[in-house]
Amino acid sequence: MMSNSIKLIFLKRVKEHYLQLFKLYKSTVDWVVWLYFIIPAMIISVYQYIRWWQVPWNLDMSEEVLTIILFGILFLFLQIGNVRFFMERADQLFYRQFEGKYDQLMKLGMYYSSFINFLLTSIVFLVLAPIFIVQLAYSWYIWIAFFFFIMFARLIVIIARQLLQFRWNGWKYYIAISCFSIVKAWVYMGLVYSWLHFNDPILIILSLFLVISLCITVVFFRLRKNGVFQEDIAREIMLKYRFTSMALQGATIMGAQKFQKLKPPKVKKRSWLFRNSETIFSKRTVQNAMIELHIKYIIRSKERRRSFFQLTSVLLFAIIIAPEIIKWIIWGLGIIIFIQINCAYVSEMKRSIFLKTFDWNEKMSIIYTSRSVFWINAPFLILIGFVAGALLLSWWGLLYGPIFTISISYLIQPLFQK
Amino acid sequence: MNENVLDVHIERAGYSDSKNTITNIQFHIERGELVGLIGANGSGKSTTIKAILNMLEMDGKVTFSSDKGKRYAYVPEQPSFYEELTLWEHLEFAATVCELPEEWMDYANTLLQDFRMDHVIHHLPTSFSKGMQQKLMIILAFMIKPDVYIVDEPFIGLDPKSTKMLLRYLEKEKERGAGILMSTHVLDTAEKYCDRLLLIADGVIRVNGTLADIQRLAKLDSGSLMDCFEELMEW
Repeated sequence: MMSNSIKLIFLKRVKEHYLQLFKLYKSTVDWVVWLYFIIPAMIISVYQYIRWWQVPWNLDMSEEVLTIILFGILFLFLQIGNVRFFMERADQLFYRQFEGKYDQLMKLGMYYSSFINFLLTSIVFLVLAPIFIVQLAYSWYIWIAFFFFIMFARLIVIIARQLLQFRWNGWKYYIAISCFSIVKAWVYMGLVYSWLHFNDPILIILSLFLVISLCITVVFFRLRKNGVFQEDIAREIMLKYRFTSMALQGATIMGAQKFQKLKPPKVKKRSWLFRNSETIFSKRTVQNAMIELHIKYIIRSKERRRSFFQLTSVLLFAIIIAPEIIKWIIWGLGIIIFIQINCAYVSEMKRSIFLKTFDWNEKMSIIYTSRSVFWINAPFLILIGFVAGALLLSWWGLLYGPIFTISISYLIQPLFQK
Repeated sequence: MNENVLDVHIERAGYSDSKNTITNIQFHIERGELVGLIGANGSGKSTTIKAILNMLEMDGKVTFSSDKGKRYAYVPEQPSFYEELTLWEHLEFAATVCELPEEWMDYANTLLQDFRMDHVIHHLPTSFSKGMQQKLMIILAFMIKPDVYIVDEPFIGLDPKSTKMLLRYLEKEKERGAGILMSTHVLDTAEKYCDRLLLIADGVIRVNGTLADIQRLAKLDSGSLMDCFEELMEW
């Protein structure tokens, strides 16, 4: 039987979590956002959704493509999510010593996470239902069967990912998670195809039975997993502050203080890039040291590196698909966004106490970092200029596009340098 | 006459809320002098250090009388480093920025060996323990060979061998002529190694003198620094 004190503690933590989310929501969304964005968007969405159930949309695509898009979205939904146990660092002082109480906390976390998973899956399936029922004209019962499949499969994926993280680290983890992802994709595709193609109730019931059994097994293993308290705490803290962190990361771009990360229990010892501390410039000057620091600061950080590649991909995609006039606007905005983000990273880098202990000439420091901002942005901007130039200015744009882009970037950069 | 390497005249310094402020902090550090900054938790030791390093709002004047570029080295209480740079890259960066002569590498290697960090030179400091991160800060400071060291709680997290090594290097630097300001709670070490002590309480300096001065003030002629500290804190 579950102790009342543990239940109360758990409920108190859940309540605090939602209060924190509410505070964050209040600080980020004001009445202007409600009036001009949220309320109009809600009215239009609800109206369109009701209409969708009555009249199918005139989509200019085949049923096969629509099916691929629908199940592609569901596959992406399968990948995201987490289980929350609402444990706290201080639990190691008390609850961790009493296995029974700790197990109860874990169980409550699993119930909570399953409930949230049920809610989220319901919302996604309700939103996408018109595509399946109205557009593709499949029956309700297959949609409900898919609902249960995705709900249980999602829990399996989330928990299996955690179990793999506990078992392996670094490149071994990437190999394991890649193998898992390949198996997961094949099973998913096979199941979707066989359900839609054969439409056999026995096959559907049998596959659901297998998925539910597998889900119960991984949940059992997860709850029985010992010796992972540090990993669990690191993840819990990350999940607890993920929305605040997202808001602060957004604020970092505007130049606010960086959110302090918790040291994960498993950290990489060496970097793959410049593994033996190689220098980029053979001539050792203060300027070169600063540029080198900036380059390593960007390329050795997974988050910063990813932000540059994501931004490049999004801008290239937008330039390719947008109408001509919008292409020009995206091209110009792209240059500004790159400079803005990189300058924000420079401000963050300069806030380090390590750097402050050196006797800096602030004017020279700005000159050094302006050069590094330019050189780090250059390859990305050249690529954007190359594509935008080719699409907007025909063949000669291939040559002049990159030159225009980096020249404009060089000229406007001082406006953004703090 | 001894030359001062650091002159501190702080009228007021602190954070925007008035709780953590220090007032009328005046002292100097001479060449080859090790000065201990002692006081209870929250008495203003770290605030004093941050004010000296110009990391806080301050009314007053702090003067370093040494060459530009290597005026001081700071060992913070919480190790501060770049997650993206290896141990060696931190040393390399400091050597370049401080324009150290070519021989810096030999000295850096000696320090790395003495502090038993030579096996992790290409590792990222995020993978280090608290003690190892502290040693990185200490090695960086000694490598620069500045005229003034500002050291905040250097013994926290250090193993006994490294503590001994740190004290040996501090002695060596004193002999070279460097001035050292060391904030610490380890009173028996402070008693043994410091030439002068600054006792700070509630943001003001209560005592600025040798152990004998403190004993006299506490009316404990042969009392240890710990006993005197206890006595003076009850005032």
